Amino acid sequence: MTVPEERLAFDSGKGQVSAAFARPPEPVATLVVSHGAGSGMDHPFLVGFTRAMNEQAIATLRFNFPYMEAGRRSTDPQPVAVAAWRAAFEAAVARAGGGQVFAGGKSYGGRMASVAVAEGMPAAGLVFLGYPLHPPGKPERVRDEHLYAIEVPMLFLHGTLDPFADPRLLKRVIDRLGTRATLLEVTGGDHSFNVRGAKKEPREVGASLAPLVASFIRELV
Amino acid sequence: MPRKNRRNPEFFEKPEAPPARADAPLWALAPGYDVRHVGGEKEYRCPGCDHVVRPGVWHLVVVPQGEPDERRHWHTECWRREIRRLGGRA
Repeated sequence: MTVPEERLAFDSGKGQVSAAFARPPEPVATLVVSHGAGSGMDHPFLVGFTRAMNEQAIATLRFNFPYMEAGRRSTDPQPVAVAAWRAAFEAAVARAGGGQVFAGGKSYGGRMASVAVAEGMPAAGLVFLGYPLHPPGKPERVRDEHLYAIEVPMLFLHGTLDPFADPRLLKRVIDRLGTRATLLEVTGGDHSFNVRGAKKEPREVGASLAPLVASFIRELV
Repeated sequence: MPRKNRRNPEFFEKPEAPPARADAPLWALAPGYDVRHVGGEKEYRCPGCDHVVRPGVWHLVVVPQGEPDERRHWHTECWRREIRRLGGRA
């Protein structure tokens, strides 16, 4: 059974942006997800992930950041991305039917979700599909300051071969976050959760993460 | 007989290095983005065209404000095109 997907648009503060909302019958919660820096909301990884979340009885909303909607390659300034996140979150709350709303995203999208939550966006929890802790090869430029201001539960899904987060540095961050943070490692996974030799399509790879995220959310609602 | 009028190497063999970075031209500035004109020794991948920015070629470094990790090296022409897409609404 496939949950029908509603295409919609909302005002991001920098023009209208596209979104896709899907609500399974009697959802346990809603998850809003944003895309990584280089790919939009309809990237097969994100589509596969959200569709599989729907099968786990979790409603989803994917959306485009304004730069992606405009067909640009340069990511938005942070205040623009955070404003778009808040607007997406409100659009999801309006459709969630009273259930809890979680926020998350792939790489850059997850980091923007966390900045929005650190600045007061009332998400029930955060889900990071590959948190970009530092630029590849530059572990000295760790970007974790704002995470300690977040009080809701956070799930870090992380490929052990992801060059955007040195596993030891990430564990240090998780330890410092204490009980708020949960780390789930995908052994041999890169930044896109591809495992060498596994030869899975991005859609399948995205879908394979959904059960892990769904059980994290179920424990909280 | 040995030559005596040798050039002073101190004087002639050290041409002054050009500055590695400079302010970007005015047209390249966009609200919300820090833009610098640079010439470097490294090779980069331009996000505008997905082709290489060759070492030594003067180009633009663009950083969205608040996003130091999203700093990218653009061909000057590719950024010109990107600016047009911004359409004055950024």
